Amino acid sequence: MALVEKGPHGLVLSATNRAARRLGHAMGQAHADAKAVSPDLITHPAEPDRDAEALRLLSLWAERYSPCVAMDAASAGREGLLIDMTGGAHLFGGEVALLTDMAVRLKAAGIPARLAMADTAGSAWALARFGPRDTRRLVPVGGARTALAPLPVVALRLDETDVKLLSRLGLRTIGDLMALPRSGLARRFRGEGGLTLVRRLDQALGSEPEILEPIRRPPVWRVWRNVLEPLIDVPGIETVLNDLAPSLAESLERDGQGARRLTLTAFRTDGRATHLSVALSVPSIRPAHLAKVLKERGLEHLDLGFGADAVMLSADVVEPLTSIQSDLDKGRDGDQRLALAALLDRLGARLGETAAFHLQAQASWLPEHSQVRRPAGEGPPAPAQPPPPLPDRPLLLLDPPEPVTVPLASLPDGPPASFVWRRVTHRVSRAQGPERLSAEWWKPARRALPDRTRDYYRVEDREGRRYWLFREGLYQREDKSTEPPAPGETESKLVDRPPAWWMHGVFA
Amino acid sequence: MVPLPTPSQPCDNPALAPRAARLGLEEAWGEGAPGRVAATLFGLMRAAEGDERPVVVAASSVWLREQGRWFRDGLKIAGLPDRRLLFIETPKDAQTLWALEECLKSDAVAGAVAAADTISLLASRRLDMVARQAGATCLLLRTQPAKDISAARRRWSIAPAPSAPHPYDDEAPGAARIAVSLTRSRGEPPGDWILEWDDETHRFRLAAGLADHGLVPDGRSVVAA
Repeated sequence: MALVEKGPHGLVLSATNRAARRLGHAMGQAHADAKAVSPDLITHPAEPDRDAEALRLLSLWAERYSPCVAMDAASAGREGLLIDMTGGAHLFGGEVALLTDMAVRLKAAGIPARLAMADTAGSAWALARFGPRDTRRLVPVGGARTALAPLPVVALRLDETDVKLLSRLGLRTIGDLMALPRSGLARRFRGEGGLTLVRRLDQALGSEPEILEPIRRPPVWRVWRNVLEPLIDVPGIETVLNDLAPSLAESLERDGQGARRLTLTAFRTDGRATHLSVALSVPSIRPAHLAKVLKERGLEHLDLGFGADAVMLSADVVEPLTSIQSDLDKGRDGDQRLALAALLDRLGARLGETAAFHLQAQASWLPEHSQVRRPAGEGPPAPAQPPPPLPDRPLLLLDPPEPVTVPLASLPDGPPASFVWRRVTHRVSRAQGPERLSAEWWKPARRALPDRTRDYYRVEDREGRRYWLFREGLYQREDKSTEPPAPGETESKLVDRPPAWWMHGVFA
Repeated sequence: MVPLPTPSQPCDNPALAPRAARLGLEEAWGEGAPGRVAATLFGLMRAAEGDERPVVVAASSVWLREQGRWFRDGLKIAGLPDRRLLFIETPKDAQTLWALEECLKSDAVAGAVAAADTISLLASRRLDMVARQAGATCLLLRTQPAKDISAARRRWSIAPAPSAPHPYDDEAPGAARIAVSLTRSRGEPPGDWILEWDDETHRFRLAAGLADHGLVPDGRSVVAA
């Protein structure tokens, strides 16, 4: 069986299984050639997006070993994960035990993998892919040179062109390269090639540092727990969460930090990780509150599958706690701020982070754009300049405005004498206006702006109901519009577009 | 937690009751969008006045789509800074009631105005209790005139009324007036009042019965036809 994808000259094989390899098929072979050699080869279209997603899920799972996990998908067909285990192996009973643990878990989840551990990411990369056929390879400290020497030069993560050039020069293994003087090596290649080669060699041997780009910023504050029997339901997770929250709070308190964003990650037995995040409106270290907010968010949203055997609680975003503590001295005032923060967290967890909000002014003459929602509980907003004093505005704004029929206006460009809105006729007894508003044509617009002028009127009907109406368009000046030419015609034509009335809001 | 005040002291004018006499749950009904807007402003004033804590305004997305969205430039006539007005938009009425109870229970808000149509007797009792414990005022806006039993201390029916004469322009609407009627209460006789919005103090006052004749002696105004 093989997977195919589109190449520059038609379909090519992008992955092969063992049976296909035995028949002599390899990556990069043209699909037509492969079919000619073995007509019964089963092929399926490759789905690189799903491959990448699967690798990402696996990398999240691998965070159980180290907070710093990087995905390596640079070279097709040699994708993998790089895990920085510096100073962490003893937590799993040493390096051998760590590799065994990893191999056992991956095998149980049905994920074939080749593991290697070495002093540098470069040499581990090389050994995992080109090392001797054994599922686990461990290079002792300082043993990189001997371990790498017999491997082919491809193992240095080089381009195909560089590899070809090296083989023309008769340099087939890394050992051949290491025997040469470095300065000469760089000069043999034109342009960047030589530098890349030397840098890759140095990285593999550890004389040049290599920085991994972790998939998520490693949280500094995290606690976690292994469980013997996989957890399959919410109460189980809840128990572990209640245990974890105090120890996370303790380590946060030691550093004088409070959590602003919490993540609960459950590592599943099938090589996936599932997580649940929640934001807090003010930094908090109260264990009961941390656990409660996560529970309100809904532990049932964690997709536990066939069970999770490890749970991690991390504070991804933290803030210094000092500001809160000074408030506590003020007694009731400080208590109230804490109470409000706790309330906002619970609301946010249950209803979504945007459910509770304040309204904030935004500079715009168009009523529907003159305010923005700001999530409740965040720091003070940037002080805006006081808006110009406006005439009365309605308390509720209909957005979008609703059409109104006006059978009769007292003057063509005056307020209506009566109007029909939502099938009810209103007779206007008093009116104030117009207040003329139009869109900010001088500003680059992110959304389509109305192109006609609006004349707003505050009207009161005989029953005392007060409405905010506007007429869109000016008589004589804006009652025609150009229509783009119909297919087959070249001239755009003028069409009648009489001014229209709209209901935009309701006053108290 | 504030100790529970003595239950509902009857007062002369429940529409402008002092804070101690309006703690707990109340219900209001207003016809159509203008009635609901009037009831919202009435509830905001009752919740905010005499307390420094934030005021919650809550409704479901459906309600907001039908009645209109809260508009900052208009709501600022209530005289509350942006940070004191906390809006909550919920998917459904059930969540509105949950959010309302959480808000009142938290002891962090001065009061709430919430739109919710169905509420059980038990839920209303609980709301009333947590509101009184937290020293908060809660006004529940109904879209139908309520006939069911509830633990609300007062039940209002609110409608807009023709506005006061504009000082400079005969053609223009003046200060907003609303007709408030108390349809049910514990220990208070029902009554009708015309309230007028005062832009300077950011609260309602009793409308003068006729132009410049002052308050009607018994504290209730005659409806100006």
